[in-house]
Amino acid sequence: MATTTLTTEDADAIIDAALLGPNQGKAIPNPDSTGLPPGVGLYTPLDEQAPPPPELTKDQQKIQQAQADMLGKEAAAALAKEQADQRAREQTLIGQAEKLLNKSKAAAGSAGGQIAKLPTPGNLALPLVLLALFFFILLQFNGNTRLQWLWLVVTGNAYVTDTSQTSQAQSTPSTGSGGGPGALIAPDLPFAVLHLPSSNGMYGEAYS
Amino acid sequence: MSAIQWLSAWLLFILILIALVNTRVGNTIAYYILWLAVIFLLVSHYQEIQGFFQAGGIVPSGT
Repeated sequence: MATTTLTTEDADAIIDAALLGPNQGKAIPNPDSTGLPPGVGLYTPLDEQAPPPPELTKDQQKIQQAQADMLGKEAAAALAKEQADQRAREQTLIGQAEKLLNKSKAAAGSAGGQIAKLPTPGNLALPLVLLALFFFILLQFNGNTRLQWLWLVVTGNAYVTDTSQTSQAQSTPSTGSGGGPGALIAPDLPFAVLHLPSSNGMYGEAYS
Repeated sequence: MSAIQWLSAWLLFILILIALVNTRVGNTIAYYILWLAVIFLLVSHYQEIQGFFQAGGIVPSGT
């Protein structure tokens, strides 16, 4: 029986071929040296070539030429290298994610700009004043609006009493003694003066 | 709900509104939100508003 002497490299090649299977990767340059049958391929990552740099469009070439004219050769070369790196980075997943992020930022900025461009006639004070006015005119508290209460208090027909005395004051009207914040009690209201179309009582509850 | 909670909630709301108004976009947003609030207030209290324009809504005292 004939014995064959294999070098370490040949042995590695045979093992690789056995593990990776036939016809994978690139063909071995000299199959005879490994003792492998022809057509058996080995996966050799070192042989992989980097993807070629993306070709420039005509516009990009024009811009690059203009940069070279303006900046001088060295600076233009550095800039071109930086731009090439940028383009290469954009081809990766991270680059695409960055691009997406930048695009979304730009879109958000653009939407914000559009909103900011909308006209605001009369300034913010106008709706604020209207709201405050309607708050006094429309919202009822204890059966009357704030404006009505103000009028009643100013004309002496209502007074502010202490909250702790509210229930007592409602059952037995007492003279106003003033004091801290409390419910507005109007025992002798001239209701004939102001007729309210409705009183739903939604806003008529005092703080507890 | 106690008065303290009411006051705190309103204070917080006002602070947020002031912060919003101090930005370019927020100013416009706050402006239109306030107008929206005015409209909601008018719509939800249209009966009271209607009462202002009804004859006999306000009568002189002593009648």
